[in-house]
Amino acid sequence: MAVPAPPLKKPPKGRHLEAPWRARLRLLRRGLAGSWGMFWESRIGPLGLFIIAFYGLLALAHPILMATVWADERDVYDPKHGYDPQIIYGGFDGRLQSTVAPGSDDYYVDANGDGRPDYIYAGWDGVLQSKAVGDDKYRGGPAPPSLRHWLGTDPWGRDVFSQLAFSARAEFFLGVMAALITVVIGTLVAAISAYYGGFVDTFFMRLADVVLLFPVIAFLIVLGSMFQLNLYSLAVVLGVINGFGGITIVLKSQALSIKVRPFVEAAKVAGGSHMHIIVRHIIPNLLPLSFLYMMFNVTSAIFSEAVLSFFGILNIDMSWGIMVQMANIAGYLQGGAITKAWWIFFPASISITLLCAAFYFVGRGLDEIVNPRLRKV
Amino acid sequence: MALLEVKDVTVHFRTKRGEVQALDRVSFALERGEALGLVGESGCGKTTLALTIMRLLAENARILGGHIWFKGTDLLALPEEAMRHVRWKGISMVFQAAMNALNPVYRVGDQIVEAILTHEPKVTVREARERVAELFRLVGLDPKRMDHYPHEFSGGMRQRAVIAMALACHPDVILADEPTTALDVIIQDRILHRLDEIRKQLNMSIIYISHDIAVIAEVADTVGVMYAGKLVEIGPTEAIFRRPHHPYTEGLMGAFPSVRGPKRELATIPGEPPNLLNPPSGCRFHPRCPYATARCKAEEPPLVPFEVGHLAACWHPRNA
Amino acid sequence: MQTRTTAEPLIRVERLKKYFPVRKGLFFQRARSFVHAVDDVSFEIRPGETFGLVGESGCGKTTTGKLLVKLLEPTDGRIWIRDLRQVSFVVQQDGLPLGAVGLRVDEEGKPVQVARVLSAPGANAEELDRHARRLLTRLAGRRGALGPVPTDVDVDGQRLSLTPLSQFRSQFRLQAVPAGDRERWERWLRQTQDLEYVDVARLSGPPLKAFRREVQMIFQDPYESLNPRMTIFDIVAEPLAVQKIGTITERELRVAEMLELVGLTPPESFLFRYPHELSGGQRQRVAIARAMIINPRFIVADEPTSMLDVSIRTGVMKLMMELQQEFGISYLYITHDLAVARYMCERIAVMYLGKIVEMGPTEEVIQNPLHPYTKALIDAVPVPDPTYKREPVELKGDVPSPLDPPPRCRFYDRCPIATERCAREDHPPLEDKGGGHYVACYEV
Repeated sequence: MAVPAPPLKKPPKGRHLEAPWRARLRLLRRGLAGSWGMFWESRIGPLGLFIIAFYGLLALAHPILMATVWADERDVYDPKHGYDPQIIYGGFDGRLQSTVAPGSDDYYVDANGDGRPDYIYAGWDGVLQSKAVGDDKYRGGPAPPSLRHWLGTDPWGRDVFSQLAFSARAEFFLGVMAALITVVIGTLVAAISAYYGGFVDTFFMRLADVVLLFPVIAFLIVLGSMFQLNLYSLAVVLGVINGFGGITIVLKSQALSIKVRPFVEAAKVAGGSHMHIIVRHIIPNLLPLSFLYMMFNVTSAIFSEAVLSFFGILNIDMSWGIMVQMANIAGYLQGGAITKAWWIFFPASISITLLCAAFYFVGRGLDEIVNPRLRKV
Repeated sequence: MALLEVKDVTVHFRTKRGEVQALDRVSFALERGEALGLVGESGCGKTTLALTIMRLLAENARILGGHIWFKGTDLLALPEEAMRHVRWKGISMVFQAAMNALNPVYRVGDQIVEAILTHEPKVTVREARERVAELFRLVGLDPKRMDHYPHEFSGGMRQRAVIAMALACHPDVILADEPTTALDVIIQDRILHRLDEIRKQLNMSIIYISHDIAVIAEVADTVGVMYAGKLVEIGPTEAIFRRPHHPYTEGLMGAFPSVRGPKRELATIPGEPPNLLNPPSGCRFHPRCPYATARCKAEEPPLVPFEVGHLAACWHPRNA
Repeated sequence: MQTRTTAEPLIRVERLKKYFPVRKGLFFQRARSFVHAVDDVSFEIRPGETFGLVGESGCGKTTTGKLLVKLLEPTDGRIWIRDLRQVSFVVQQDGLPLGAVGLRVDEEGKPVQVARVLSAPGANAEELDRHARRLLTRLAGRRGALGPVPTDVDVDGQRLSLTPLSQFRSQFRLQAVPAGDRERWERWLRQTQDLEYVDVARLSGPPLKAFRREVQMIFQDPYESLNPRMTIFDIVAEPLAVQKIGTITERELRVAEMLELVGLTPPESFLFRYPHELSGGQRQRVAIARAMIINPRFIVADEPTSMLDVSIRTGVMKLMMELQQEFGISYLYITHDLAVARYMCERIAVMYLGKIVEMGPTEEVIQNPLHPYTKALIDAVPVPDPTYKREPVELKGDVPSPLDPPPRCRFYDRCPIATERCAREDHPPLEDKGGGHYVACYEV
């Protein structure tokens, strides 16, 4: 008399149905192939992917080069402590000290540690130049690109190419890590506040407003001076801040439009719990957009790191931002100096721009898949 | 000579998946003052036909052949500039989602005035406003509401405003694409009556496009039945309903429920309409047709008259 | 599936109301006005019946449907659904009713618990309580212990006669009761009715989950009611999955069977496809398969065919009727199309601005409409017959706003036969004009 749960029969022999997991795998493969086709046709997406691949290879190349080509001269090519004695620019032996002579703009360097100046740095007249005490001849500071140093050396005598390749890994890590945290938080918060509404929604949305209006860079500068921010903690901080910020508003409005679609009501009628509806219906329909925003967030994280490094407040040994900062504090960004020792500044700054652009391009390419309205017929 | 004559019009759409054969050699003629009803299911090409006549097809459409003679000129051969004069003044259209065709930030009256001034530069604003007031009365709206915004109008009123806009430049032909589909029956009834009165009053021609054969039965003098991009039957309304020749027409009539008359068994047409990327060979209806033979699969039936003015494209016509 | 052969309704809707607050004011968002979406609506749906709700957009028919499947909570009123997890009977001793007893049964139909006891006027409540508990121990573990016919049981040497409640109610004659007691007996009889029904609004926890198994919904738009990121298998199996029925391979087989049943053959070719790869008609068949997969007793079908083409529509309508025949399901069929309602429904109710204005057997209402609104609605439907000339519809204006309607007949402003009384008095009650043909109009 009671309604029994419909007894499900055991599969009879003879009838063969494709196993669900196998079918899902097949569909996934087909879906990816289809998306790839559309992505490829967007033109801008593959370009971004190509640039990303290039930097990916560069990042991979560094440890390999250190282990092979540069293995005998690790001291020369070390991105952080390297120095090439074959190039004469006044001998930076790691004990660089400087004092300002009374009444002079010049810097004195005590190279041998005897308390007396060995080299004099002539002020900030463009290219940093040095001469030994008693020697009238100034020699060029950073060495220009050569076969030995493909992208030259920085004012401290370190190999720029090695720095660039070494930093690429850090940029990838930071960008992807921060974006991943952002998107996970953003998607969950958006789905939950759209689904439940009410107080939860108000809370997260006002929080997003606050974060959005918050001077994030200024905040990070303060945070950086109070705590030692390394790459990991910066990734987490950036990820969390962005996760509760603008992305939630965008994803929530999308989640709201999903929430009111009849298939959500159908799932409710079937007896689906709140969790079931969020996990099986809202989030899967939100994910494409989340993924798209993840690309844009990589860009924003890399960019933030560059800015913070430029101000020199991160506890990071080497990154593209640090490289730009080096160029700046060594005086190569002022006046006409940029063109004189371009190899110090441009490789890092162009890399920041290119990699940021590359992720943005990929995002734009994905946009055409995610938003069918943009698709060409 | 007919006011509007469509001759062998073929339209394909280029898509990523291939060539969609949306219209295949469609021909019919429309006389002055005539109401033609085009019925068919979604995707049968009826809206494409209207857009072809208006020359408003999407970019990926290709007109592969045919002529559309309007008052002796071939619209398909006309340069875009000249075509712009024909639109609104010669032929105007009431779109399917017409309720959303009004711009929400402008007053309804001003939008119609704008349309008049664009097409008839000699008319002054005052004259145009007078004409709009007249049009409002014509479609059964209070002229006082001219200066209201679209959101202050109900769905039915907006639809009437859009019809007024279509009438603004006294066109010879109106293409009404599902003019009442989104509306409730009582408002639908009112709008259809009004359109019919206006047609008789102004001696205009109207092409009604609808999936609802009951609506077509009431408003059209001539009915054309479309299936999978082809015109499969055309003839006087009564003949089409009383003695349909094409099995598809017959099935459509049998499947349509009515609130009047005895409750009869509803017919079912098996299967689904074909994919126009790859339409069936021969007669496009043959996979669903109960009377299909080998010939239907191999040869395409031409649209030929079985009675005076009653044409059908079928090898095994019913009631013939 | 077992169905009870009884005329007792499956669903009873009593004075159902749903008001949506409309917030006004920028800073102080107080609800000042209410949209009266459903306003004091009562009807019953019998087992195996298709009951139609017909009306124009905004008349409250969809809101009513959503209230019935508990997608919305009513503002007021009750929705009763017959509780199949309870058997109810009246205990009589020496021809005297002691009271009604409801026993909760488990999924196999075995009594497990005394759910409710309702002693008859003048009877000893404690004694009935005791009897009920003894009866439970006697009947526990016996599947279908109480048949549809009266049984006699010996409990502690006392001979008790058990009559199924519905049977008792249909046989009981109030006239036989002394006039002074009649009121008490009448009240008792009314109360016994609630014994077999559960209030949908109060369901939560496991009973709610059971309710979700018995009541399903089919939505209007087959393009929107199927999650585009789920395969047909996942969509159809979702009710099984959330109810945790069967393993994944068993579910797959069941889904395949269901797809075959709704005419999607061969099922293998549909199982792992996405909704966008299917046509509108096929999608609606998927939606039907999904609604049917857990053997519901009652399905709310909200305009299931209005988005489909004519040639496809008939097939879906016929499918729904066939499945009803096979599984004994009741439908609430919501539609704006009277012609479709005529073919699908045994009885229809015409709604206008949140009220039922006319209700009765479908043919009777369509052939002989009494309410002026129903007449207008039927007159306005185009007829697929070019020789048929319809009467012009005489209705003034448009449908007024459902926002805080004035306390008079909702149709007053547009009614061609309205009188002074209609303006003065409240909305007319729904009255039986014979043969179950109900009309809410003073002038009929």
